[in-house]
Amino acid sequence: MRIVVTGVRILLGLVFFVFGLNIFFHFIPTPSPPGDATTLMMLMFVHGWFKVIGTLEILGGAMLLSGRLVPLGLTILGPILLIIVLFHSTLAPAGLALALFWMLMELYLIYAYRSSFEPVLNPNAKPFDGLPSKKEKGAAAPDSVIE
Amino acid sequence: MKIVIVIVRVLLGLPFLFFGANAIHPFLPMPPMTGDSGTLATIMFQHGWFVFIGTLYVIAGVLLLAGRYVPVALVLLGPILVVILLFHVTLSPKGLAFPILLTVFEVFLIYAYWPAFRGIFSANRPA
Repeated sequence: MRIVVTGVRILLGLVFFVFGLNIFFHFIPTPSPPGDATTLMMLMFVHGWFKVIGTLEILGGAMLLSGRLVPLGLTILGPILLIIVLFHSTLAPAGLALALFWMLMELYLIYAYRSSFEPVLNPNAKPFDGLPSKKEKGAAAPDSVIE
Repeated sequence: MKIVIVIVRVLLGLPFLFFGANAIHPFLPMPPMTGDSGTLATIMFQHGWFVFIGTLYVIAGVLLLAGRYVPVALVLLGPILVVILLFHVTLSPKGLAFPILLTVFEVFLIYAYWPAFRGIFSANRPA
């Protein structure tokens, strides 16, 4: 099972790392259907949004590839993937199948690394008490038993 | 400290509930937007993106106000706030003050609920 997790991690990491770099160096042509899809892409390009997104994609991709900070990489790539799926389902349906495939990989990795994400899903998560002394004493608080 | 956290939670939840409802069922007069910001907003509106994003706003706003699943609400709003900031920085600098204030609230709450987020920053192995 671990080999599958590693394979999916490397594949998804590679995709974002390469396409993130492509935003800066344009070595792979990326066609988009004429109309609103292209208008939206042009707007994002002209105003530098792609530089921000490209940087995040490279960072997230590198985290998945290196195997360090994988949960943080998944957290960065999750919302980017959501918008990619939204983009393709509303504006460029041709790429939707591939986008959903990447999304599936993301969801699988979130599941594989669920121990990192479980505390986020605690319905009754409490803020920690800012005072250091109390923080030590309150180690038995339900949401601090992460490890 | 606890009371401050509750106040900030409500102050972040209210605007997102309000503007989320407005994105789904517009009840505020829409200011005429010209230039690129207008084009972008029109495309997003026509293709249903506002309803999608508005739904996320409402879910996050309700969770923050209710005080349940607060970390989930913060995870939803984090990337949304990044894009709101990006939008205002590049296309509509006049309205930047309010998003910055909301981002300060968001960052403060992430800090306050840090135990829930610690795992994301760990170099954990898969479960």
